[in-house]
Amino acid sequence: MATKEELNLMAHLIRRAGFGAHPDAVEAYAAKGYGATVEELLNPESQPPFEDDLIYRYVPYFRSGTGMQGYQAYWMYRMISTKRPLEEKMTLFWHHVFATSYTKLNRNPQANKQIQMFRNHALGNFRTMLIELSKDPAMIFWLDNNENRNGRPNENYGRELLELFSMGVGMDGQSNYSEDDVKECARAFTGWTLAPGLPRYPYGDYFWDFEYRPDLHDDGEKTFLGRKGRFNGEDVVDIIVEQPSTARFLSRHLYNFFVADEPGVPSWQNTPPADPATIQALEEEYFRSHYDIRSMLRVLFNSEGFKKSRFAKVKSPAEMVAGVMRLVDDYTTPKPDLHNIAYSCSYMGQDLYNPPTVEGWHTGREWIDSGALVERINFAADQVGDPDKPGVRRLVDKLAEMGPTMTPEQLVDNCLHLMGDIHPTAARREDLLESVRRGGEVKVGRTKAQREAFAQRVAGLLRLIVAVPEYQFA
Amino acid sequence: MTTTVASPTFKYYQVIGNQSGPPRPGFTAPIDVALGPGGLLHVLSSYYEYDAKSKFVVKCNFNEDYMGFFGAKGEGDEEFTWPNSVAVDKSGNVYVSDEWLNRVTIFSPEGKFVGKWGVKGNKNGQWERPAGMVFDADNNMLVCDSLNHRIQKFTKDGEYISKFGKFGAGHGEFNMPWGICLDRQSNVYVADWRNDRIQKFSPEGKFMMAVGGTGSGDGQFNRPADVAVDADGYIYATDWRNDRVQVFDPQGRYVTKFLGDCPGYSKWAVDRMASNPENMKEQRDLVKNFTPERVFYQPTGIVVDDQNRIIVTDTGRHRLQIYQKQGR
Amino acid sequence: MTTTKKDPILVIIQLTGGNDAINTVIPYGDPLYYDNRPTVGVAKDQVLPINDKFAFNPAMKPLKELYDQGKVAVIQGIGYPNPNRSHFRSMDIWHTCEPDKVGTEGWLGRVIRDIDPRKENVLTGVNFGRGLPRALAVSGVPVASVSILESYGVLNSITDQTERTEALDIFSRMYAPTVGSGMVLDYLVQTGNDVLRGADILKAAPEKYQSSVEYANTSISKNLQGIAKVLTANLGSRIFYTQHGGYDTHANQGPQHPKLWTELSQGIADFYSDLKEHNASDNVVMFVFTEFGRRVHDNGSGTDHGSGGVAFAIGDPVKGGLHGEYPSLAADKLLEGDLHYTVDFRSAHATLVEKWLGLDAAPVVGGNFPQLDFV
Repeated sequence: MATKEELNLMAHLIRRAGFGAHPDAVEAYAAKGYGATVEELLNPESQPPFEDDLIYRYVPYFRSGTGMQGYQAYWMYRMISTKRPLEEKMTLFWHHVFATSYTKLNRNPQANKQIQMFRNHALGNFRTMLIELSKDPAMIFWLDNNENRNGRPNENYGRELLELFSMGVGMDGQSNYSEDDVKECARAFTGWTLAPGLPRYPYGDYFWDFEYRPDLHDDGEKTFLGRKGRFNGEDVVDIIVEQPSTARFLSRHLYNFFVADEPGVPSWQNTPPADPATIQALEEEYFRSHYDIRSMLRVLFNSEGFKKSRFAKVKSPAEMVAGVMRLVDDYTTPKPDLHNIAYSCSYMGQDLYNPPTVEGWHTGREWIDSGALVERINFAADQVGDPDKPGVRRLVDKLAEMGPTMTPEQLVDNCLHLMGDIHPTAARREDLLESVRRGGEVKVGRTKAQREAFAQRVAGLLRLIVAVPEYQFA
Repeated sequence: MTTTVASPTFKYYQVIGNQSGPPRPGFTAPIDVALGPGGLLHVLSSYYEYDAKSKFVVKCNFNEDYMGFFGAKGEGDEEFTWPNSVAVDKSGNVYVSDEWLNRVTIFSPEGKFVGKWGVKGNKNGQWERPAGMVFDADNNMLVCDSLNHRIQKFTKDGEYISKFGKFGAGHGEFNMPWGICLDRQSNVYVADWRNDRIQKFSPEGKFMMAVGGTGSGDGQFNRPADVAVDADGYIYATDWRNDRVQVFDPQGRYVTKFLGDCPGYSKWAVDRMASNPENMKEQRDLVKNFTPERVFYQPTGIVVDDQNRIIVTDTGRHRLQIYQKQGR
Repeated sequence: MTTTKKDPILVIIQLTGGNDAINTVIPYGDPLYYDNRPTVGVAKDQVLPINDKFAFNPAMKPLKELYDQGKVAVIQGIGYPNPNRSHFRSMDIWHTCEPDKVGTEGWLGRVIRDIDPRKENVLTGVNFGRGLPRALAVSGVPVASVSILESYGVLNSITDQTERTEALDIFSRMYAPTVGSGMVLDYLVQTGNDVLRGADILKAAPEKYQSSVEYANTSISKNLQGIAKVLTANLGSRIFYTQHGGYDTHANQGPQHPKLWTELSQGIADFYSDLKEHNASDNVVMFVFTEFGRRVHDNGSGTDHGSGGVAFAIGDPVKGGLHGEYPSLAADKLLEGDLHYTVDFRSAHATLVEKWLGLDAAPVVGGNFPQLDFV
C-alpha cells in the first residue's frame, strides 16, 4: 500500500505529466512506484496506442472533416482518454510554444496535421523537431515563409524561429542574436515553401505539401551567429541547437509548463530563472543527450524542484477540462457531442488550434478573468456535482467503505485527499466543514435511498471543493 | 471439362455528389449507400454532430437527379445520432441503423417516419450498436450486432429469428463487425472490422471462408468497413483505413484494387462552383498533382447493382465513385 | 441617478457568419444585381425602397420604419484592405483593428479601460453570450459575460433555490478578499469576488424591470431584452455586446436570410421601443456589423464568402440615411468576384469612440481614420 504522501506525490506527477486522474488510477500508478511511473510516462510506446479507429467509426469527421470544431473535439477526446498522457501533454506543450492559429490558415485539417506532427515528435529530438517545424505547411503559411524568396525575403519565420521557437531574444541581460542574424536566418529559409494546393470546393479540403524550391532559394554566403557559409535551413538549425541560449530557452519553457509559472517569455532576457539549479540541470542534460527531449524530461520529473512544486501553477483550460473529465470518468470512451466538452475549453479562454498570437497563450494568472473563472468553476462543479458520473460514483463508493458514519472533518479531509491532495487555507477548510455541518450528521446508510442521499451529499461537497480557489491550481 | 474464365477488368464509370447539405444537392460524409426499387440510390450521410443538418439520407439516380432527402441530427424519431447503415426493403421502405440510439428507424419510400425498433442488451433479439443490415430473399433482415460480435436475423418488423457468431478472432468469430451483404445463393459476407478480414458464411451461418488479414499489402486490410458481391461471386470490400477498395474472386483470391479515379467534377459539383469558376480554374491551373483529388479518402459503404456497377461512398470526399465491371 | 447629462452607451450587435450585404441593402435599381443573383435575388416588387436605386430586404420592415424616422444610418461598402475570407480571421480583424498583424487587444476592451481605468465598476462592459469575444478582451479589464441574466454567476446549475443560496453563501465566504496568500491566489480570490459583486448587482436588474414591450422568443430578442433590463437598471454599464448567428448562407439562402433579418429587425425595433418607454433611448447607439459580405454572384442556392459589407448605426443620437458609397457591381470593378470596400471599418469604430463616447480614437483603433458623420 502506498503511503498518503506517495499518493499525493503521484497525483502531482499525473496532474503535471498528464491531465490528472481518478484516485483509482493514482493508486494504480503509486503501486508501481514513482520512478517506474516516470519511465512509463516517458516511454508512451509501452502503453496501448490511442484507438483512432473506434472514434473515427462513430465520428467520421474526426479524420476527414472540414470544420474546426471537430478537430478541437477530437484532440480534447485524446487528452481525456489517452493511455499515454505525457505524449498528449507534450503535444499541447509544443502547441503552446510553436503557436499556430487555424484562423489565418483557413484549412483546418492542415492545422490538425501540424498537431499530429507535434505528437509524432513529442518526446523526440529537438533538432528534428525544428526541421519538421520549418517544413510544416501550416507553419509556413502562418508565418509567410511561402513568400520568403531569394532577393525578396520575408523575415517573419526567420525571426520567430529565433525569438519564439528556439533561442529567445536574450538571457542574463544579453542579446542572443542581432538583427543581421535574423536577416541571414530568413535568407537560409528562402525557397522553403508550399506546393500549390487544390481548392476546397467541391470535394473538401486537401493537405498542402512542403516544397523546396532551389530556384527561390538564396544560395549565397551567409554569416549567422558568427559563422560563415552558404547555409541552407538545416545548417541554420544545426547552429541554433548548439547555442547555450537554446538550451536555456527550452529549459525555461519546460519549467514554466511543467513545474511552476514563470514570468512571460519577453522578460526572460532580463529576469533570471526562479530555480536556477533545475534549469542548469536541464541545460546540461540537453547537451549531454544531444538535444533529446525525453532525457530532459527524465531529469525534470526526478528533480527535487519538480517534486516540491505542488500547486505552483494555474491550470490551463485544457488541463481543467481534461482533468475534470478524467476524474468523473465521462467521455473516456466514444460518446456523441464531444464538441460541447471542447467548447468549454474555448469559453475558458483556450480555443485550441487558435492561440491569440504567435506568442501563444499567456499562462499563469493571465488565464483568469471574471468570465473565465465563472466558466471554470461552473464546468467543474456541474461535472463533479453529478453523482451519476461513473468516476463520482466510484469516489462515493470509496468513501462509503470508510465507515457507516463519519465526522464532517473526516468527510472533508478524505474528499480533499481523493481529489488530489487539495489544500485550502484553514479558513476555507472551515467553510467546507460548515457546509457539511449544516447538512447534519454524515451517514453512509444501507438502503438504496440512504446511499443515494449520501451520494448527493458527497456530490454537493465535491461541487464546493472544485469551487475553492486552490482548485484552480495544478 | 474445363472452362477458361478470363479475369474481369474494371473501368472507372462515374462520380456523383459534392460536399453540400440539404436542400442543395450533395452529401456530407456519405457513409453508406443502398439500392432501392428501380435502381434508385439511397445515400446516408453522417457529418457534424454540432450541425443538425448534416446527418441525412439523400435519394438520387445515376443521372444525378436529386430526389429529396430526410433526416437530421438528434434523438427524435426522424433523427440520427450515430447512423451506420442504410437498407431498402422490397417495397422501397428505408431502414437506417443507429449505433448510439441502438435502433433501426424505418421511413416510407417518401421519406416519412414509419416506425422504429431495437432493444439494447445482449440477449437474443437485443443488440449493442447495430451496424450493417441486409434483407434476404424472404424480406428478413440480417444485422451486424457489433458490440455483441454476432449476426442476428430478424423479421423486418424486428421479431428475432436466429443468430450466429461470438467475440474472437477464430473462424466464425467477430470483432465489431460492420458491413454485411448476401450473394445470389444467400451466402452471407461480413466485414469483420477489427479482425481486418471478410468472412463468408452459408445461409445457415456456417463458416465457409475468410479473406484478408492485417496490413496494407494486396489482399490485406486495415479495418474493412463494408463488403459487396456481384452476380458472379466477385467480392468487393472497402479497405477503410487503407483508403482503397479491394476485389477478390469467388474463391477469395486477390484480383485487384481501386485507389479512386475521380476524373473531375460531378454534375452537382459543376453547379456548385458556378459562383466562382474563374477563381477555381485559376487555382487548379497552378496544381501539379491531382492525385489527392482523384483518390479515395476513407471509403466506407459499398454496393453492386445488377449491371455490375460498383458504387462506393467516398466518405472523406463527399461523393460516390462508381466502377464498372467489364466482360467476363 | 440624478445626473443631468446621461453617459453615452454603445450596444454592439455582431452578425456572425458573414451577412450578405447585397441582399440586405439591395441595389435593386442596378440590372447587374439581377444578373448576378439568379437564385437568391429579391424581386423588384418585393423590396422596401429607400430611393430609386437601393432598398431594404422585405424582411426588414421594422428597421425600415426606424429608418423612415431618421434613426438608422446605413454605412455602405464597409470593409478593410486585402480582405480575408476566413470567418475567424476576418472577425479578429474587426475585433482588434489589426488587419496586417495578429493583434491581442480588443478595441472595446480598450474602450472599457479608458472609461473605467480604475475598475470601479465590474459591469462597465457586459456581454450577453458565453466566453468573451476578442473585441472585449484586454488583460485585466473585467467584463461580465452573461448567458442568462436571471441565473448569472457561479454554481448556476443548482436548480434547487435553497441549495443554491446555501452554496453561494459558502462560496462568498471562500472568496472573501484576502491578502498575503500569494499574488496569484489573491488575484484569483479578488476575481471571484468581482463575479459575486457583479452577480449581486445584476440580480437587481430583472427584479426592477417592467415593460409593456413583448419580445419575440428568439435568441437575439432575449439577449436584447437582457441588455434592456441591465441598461434601464442604471448600473453604470456603458458597453454592451451580443451576437446573432447563422449568417453563413452558403446554401438555402432564399428562406434563411430573410428569417434572420425578420428576427433581428423585430428584436432591434422592440429593443428601441423598450428603451423609449423607459426614457432611455436618447443616450444609446446600436452598432450592427458582420465580418464580411458575400460574393456578388450566387452559387445556385446561397452565396459564398466575400468582402465589402454593410453596417448600421441605430438610435436617437444617430444621423439617419445612407453613408459612404455603395460599391460597384460591375465585373471590372470587383475584387476576385467580391465588392471592393469604400469605407474602412476603423473609420466607423473611430466615429463611435470619439464622436459618440468622447474618447481619443487613435489609440483604440490603431491610427487616424477619417471619421464619419452618422452621429
